[in-house]
Amino acid sequence: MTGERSSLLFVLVLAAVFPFAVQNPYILHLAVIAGIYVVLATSLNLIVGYVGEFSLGHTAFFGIGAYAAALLSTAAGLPIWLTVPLAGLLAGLFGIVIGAITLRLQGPYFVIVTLAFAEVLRIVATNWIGLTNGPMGIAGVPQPASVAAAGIVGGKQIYYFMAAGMVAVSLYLAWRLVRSNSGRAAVAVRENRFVAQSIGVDPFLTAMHVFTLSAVLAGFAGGFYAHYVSFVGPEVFRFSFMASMIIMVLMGGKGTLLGPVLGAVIVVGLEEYLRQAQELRLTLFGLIVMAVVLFAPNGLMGLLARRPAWLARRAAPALVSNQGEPA
Amino acid sequence: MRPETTASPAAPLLRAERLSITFGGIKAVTDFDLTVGDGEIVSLIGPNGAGKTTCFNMLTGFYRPTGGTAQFRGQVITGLKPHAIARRGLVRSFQKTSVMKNLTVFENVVTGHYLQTRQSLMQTFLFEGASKRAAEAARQRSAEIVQLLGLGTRSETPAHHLSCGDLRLLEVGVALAARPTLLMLDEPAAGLNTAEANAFGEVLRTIVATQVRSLLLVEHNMGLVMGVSDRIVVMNFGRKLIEGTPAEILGSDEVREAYLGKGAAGKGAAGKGAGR
Ligand SMILES: Nc1ncnc2c1ncn2[C@@H]1O[C@H](COP(=O)(O)OP(=O)(O)OP(=O)(O)O)[C@@H](O)[C@H]1O
Ligand SMILES: [Mg+2]
Repeated sequence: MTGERSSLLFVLVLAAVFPFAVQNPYILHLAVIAGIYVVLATSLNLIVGYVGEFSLGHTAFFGIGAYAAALLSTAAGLPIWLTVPLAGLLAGLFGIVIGAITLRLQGPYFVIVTLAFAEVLRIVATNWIGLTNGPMGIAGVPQPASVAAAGIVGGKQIYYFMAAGMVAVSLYLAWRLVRSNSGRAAVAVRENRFVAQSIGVDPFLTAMHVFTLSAVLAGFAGGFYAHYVSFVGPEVFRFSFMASMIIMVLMGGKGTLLGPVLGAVIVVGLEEYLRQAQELRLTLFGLIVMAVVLFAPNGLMGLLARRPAWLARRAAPALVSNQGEPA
Repeated sequence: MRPETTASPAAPLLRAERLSITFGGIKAVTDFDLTVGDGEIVSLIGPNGAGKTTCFNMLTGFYRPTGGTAQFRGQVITGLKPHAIARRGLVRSFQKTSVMKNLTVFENVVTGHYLQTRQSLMQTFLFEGASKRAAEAARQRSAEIVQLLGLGTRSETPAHHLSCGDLRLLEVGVALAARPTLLMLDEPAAGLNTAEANAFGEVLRTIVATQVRSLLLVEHNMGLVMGVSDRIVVMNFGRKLIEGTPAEILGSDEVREAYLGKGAAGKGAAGKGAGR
């Protein structure tokens, strides 16, 4: 517990000095993107690693957050420090509704229905032209005035710290939930649904808590993304975001807080590095995912955990599939 | 929800009436009556497939009976979800060994304290104080339970490294952590050797004396059953065959027939039944 906590602190300190050590706007841009993905991967990990279900529709919440921030800033003129939290809240509300429906399902049914929700939202975003401007999207999502005034490197630095703040808040919320009684209940359900029920855990309600926080975090990421790229279109619901999130969570190690953070940073770096070879890139990622699933089912954290004992206890246990009936 | 009725001394803790369930036309349990009094240790025995586990599943909400009702402390519990029944103080273990196998022994028992350490969302994200105290109390009591069960030296061992006997003890520990009024154990001594089973019997007696009000036990180890039970209920083919004190059951021809008559030709129920 203290191990994971101090590693997280170390990462935060490193993150604080980074933008001053690196004045390169391109690297800072990558860091901001990595920050967005850290939040997204943390968010997805709550579902994959703690609810124990696999969501393919997580872009639903990212997209809702992005559209919410875009509309709140362009139509209502709200500043970024309001739009991003509100984007998270709105995504959380959608999380409650979508969770109430999907969390009654398990396994492949959950996967398919979450995917369907994301697809429905994409279709709505494309066709409800009055609200979303359809396929044209919402352009000119305003930058904060401070960013505009600060020049290229300065602007990136400001965005970097905003992203860092969002990452810190998100990790803090996830950390508190995971360590809380609800988090332990979620682990109990994931480990053994029947035992969990027999000690008084309501599997559905527990999953709702985790799912809703997960949606809030994805909404934050979406809201921030909208301001950062200053454009939001239906492609925020596209599957490639989802694919990246999955790779990050699996590669880093589901069921740990640190794993998805590592996964996000590494994958963003790798994607940039492999940018020259567009087609090959996806193939390589496919191979990486296969390798991870086959040889390191608990991701990097699982590999690390083979050594120090404190990590071994924190490491993501392989998900146990629940049997159909109590016996 | 009905108001809490203060049970009179004579009223049983658990009363099941005419519980029945069919699976695709096959009657697994038929018109089964069962009571467990306050302070009583009741054993439910019977050959393999008699319907004992199915009764457990109906009583704890994992199966919905197709007929009959169950009351716990004067309130109807049939139709409630398993977690809701557990919250009323009826906690069971599973015949198929069930623990959270990637957690340590201690973590398993701490997790078992879920109900005592429940906290609001405000507490989760903002104010830690109250929940920290509850968590600390749970950790203390977990340490006590681990000691009580003699698992002290394996406290930090992941559950999947435990021996069969220790796993059985851990299951009881997780159930105890939920502070049951009535503890229901489904074959807790299965897979234990004679010495381990005897030691387990001692643990059960301590538990009933200090931790829970009543115990409902399903068990094939006759030595254990005869040693601890106040009353024994025998099932066969989904029905109650007979019930009585251990001495009455031992002398019963019907029980002998149920075990030896079927068991000799079947899959070894006689062997288990005679293991006393
Ligand atoms: N979910 C189910 N679907 C179909 N049949 C079932 C189901 N659960 C139990 N049964 C049947 O009900 C009968 C009673 O089974 P049960 O597991 O309750 O027996 P038991 O007394 O616990 O036996 P054992 O001593 O072997 O544990 C069996 O014939 C079993 O096949
Ligand atoms: Mg059974």
